Amino acid sequence: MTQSTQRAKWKIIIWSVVLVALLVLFFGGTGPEGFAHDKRRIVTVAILFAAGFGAFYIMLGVTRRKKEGGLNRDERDEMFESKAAGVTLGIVLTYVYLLCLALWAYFQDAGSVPAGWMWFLAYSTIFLGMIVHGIFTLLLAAGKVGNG
Amino acid sequence: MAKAEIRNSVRRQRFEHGEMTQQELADQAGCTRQTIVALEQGKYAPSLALAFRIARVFGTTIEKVFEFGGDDKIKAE
Repeated sequence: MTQSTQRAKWKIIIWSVVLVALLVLFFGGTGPEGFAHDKRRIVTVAILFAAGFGAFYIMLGVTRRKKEGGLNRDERDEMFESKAAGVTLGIVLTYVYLLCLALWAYFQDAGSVPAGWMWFLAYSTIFLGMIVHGIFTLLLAAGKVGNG
Repeated sequence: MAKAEIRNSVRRQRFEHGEMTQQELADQAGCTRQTIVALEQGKYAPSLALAFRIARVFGTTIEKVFEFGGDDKIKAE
């Protein structure tokens, strides 16, 4: 396993855990409508966000170590990561577009969207981007899609 | 756009060079063992720089290791 695939695997694990925790916090309790007024939940999600990045950067440091006498990443890994980034951009843009459209459709009669959804859109976009990038890096490395 | 068919004789060259291991070739060519595996399976077309480095490891020219087929598939010998 190269550094690239190792990092992709850990990226999926870390950000999936954070995403699940976000979903539980956002849809639990008073739900999305009450999220923007619930300081406890807002702070908890912010801590979760920071913890996710903390774990992510620790993982980057741990996996930075080179194998004895050999490289742990090369041009092929860079190509996978680059292709995965392109796919991720498309998926994340589509996600933001569809979520905004869905929110508009759902709340158009009410005249306004609860502010909590803006928090959800901001956090979930980042988490989704990280997870999708990890998944496509692994798929490309395994030769499931593209020039693997 | 169709991929260029690039055949290679990396596996044969390794065995002709004292049964060099994939890891040894990777270390000398400056890539990972996984890239050598992908090359030998015909699943990866290397950059020109890597192709030159691999040829240099075998002490030969790039044409002796890589061959352009002009088809839309990548194959390995």
